[in-house]
Formats: sequence, structure tokens, C-alpha cells
Amino acid sequence: MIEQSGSPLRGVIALQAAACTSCMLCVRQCPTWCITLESHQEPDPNVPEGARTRLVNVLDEFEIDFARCMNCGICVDVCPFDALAWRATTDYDEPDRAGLVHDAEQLGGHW
Amino acid sequence: MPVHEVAAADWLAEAERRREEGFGALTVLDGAAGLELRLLTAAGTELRLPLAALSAPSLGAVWPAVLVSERRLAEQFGIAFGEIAAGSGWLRKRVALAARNEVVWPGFKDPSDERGAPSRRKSLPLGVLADRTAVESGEVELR
Repeated sequence: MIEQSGSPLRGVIALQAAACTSCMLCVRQCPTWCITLESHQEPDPNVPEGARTRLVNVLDEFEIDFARCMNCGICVDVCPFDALAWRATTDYDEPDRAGLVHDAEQLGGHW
Repeated sequence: MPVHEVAAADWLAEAERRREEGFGALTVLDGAAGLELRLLTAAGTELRLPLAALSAPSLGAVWPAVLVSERRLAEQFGIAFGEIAAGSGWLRKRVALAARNEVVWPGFKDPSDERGAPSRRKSLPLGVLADRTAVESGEVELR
């Protein structure tokens, strides 16, 4: 049915972890609170020698609970770095509730 | 725009006196001084009624169109208008949503938490409390 629509597809939300800056925008905008994100800060290794230390956010864990996600796409829209994107597959259903919580690795697999 | 503060006893009479001005809007301001009813006539006059109690006379007999606003405000702010019973008042500032506070909002976390840096986040989702001490002190009520 999705293939027949010809419109932009809302199948599953995929994550490109390398592009995520842990800005928390998607987490805070999500109306169903289905995204959880763990991160910490580290000194930026790419700062030129002699420059002041700069902290960067490092993503530790990113989860989307697809049992609570209502496919509104706000997280995809607000992400300033396009780390989240829709992918056309709907082949992510699981027989149990816990299986619908996808971690960063699974979400990266959708990318 | 002329603004008139009206006493509760004169609310209905004042509206009747201004019937020909036409009904514009009925809103509630939930400010530091408490709830205040604000009626805007189509002619641009604003009437304000500070609500000491959570009830006000219904203006449905003056302008039938006002009943829609009264029913909405009865539900949102828990104000009874004549025969319109007060609802839960979930939009009032001193009311927080119990269901929204049973679990921790994921947005409370911040990458800088580990360093103990102060959060720059200013806003919270509707009905979410920054801390529960306001509930314990009775300042905010969970519904």
C-alpha cells in the first residue's frame, strides 16, 4: 500500500548517529515522549593547538519506542543536522512490546 | 480600547447594558493575581471581572453566542457559568497533569548534566512540573 501511494513515505525513522549532536531537540519536541537519548560531553579533539578547550556532545544511546511513536515526523523535521530521516520500510514490527524499542544500532540499520 | 473593571454583582447588568455593542470574545487571564474573566464586545470595549470564586453569571441570555466560550472556559479553567458546571480546569497554572508526571519527561536530560552545568532550557511541555515540591507545598495541584 505504501509503494502505491507515490507520496513521501513514512515507514520507519532511521538514525545517522554520526550526524547527531545530542542537541535534544527531537526528544523535547516529541509529543509522545517516545525518544530517549543518553549523552555526555568531552573536550573536542579537533581544536587547534593552543586554542581554548571546547566541549562537544557525544551520543551514548538513542532509542525510539515505536509502540508509542505516532509517526508525526516532528523529530525528523526539527533535527538541524538531518540525523533522522524517514525510510520506506515497514518491516520493523516485533511480536513483543519490548522489541519495538529500537536502539541506535537498529535505527542506524534502517538508514 | 476602553477597559472597565466590573464587580461580580454587576456582570450581567453591565453586559445587558452593552447588548447592542455585540459579543466579541470571552477569555480568561490566569495571572499572578488569580483568574480574571475578560469580555470583549464587538465594538471593542473590554470588561474585566476578577474571579474571587470559581463561578460567574452566564451571559447566554444576553448573547447566545457566548455560551460556546463559557462551556470551553468551564472545562479549561474550572469556572461554573450559571447552569454550566465547572470542569476539571486542566489549563490553570496551578493544575498539573498527574498522568504527565507519573513518568519523567525524557527532555529533562542534558549532555551537560554530568558536569553539573546549569540547564539553559526555559520551557516545559504542558502540565509537566520542574520539581514536585510545588505539589507537596500545595502550590500546584495534580489532576
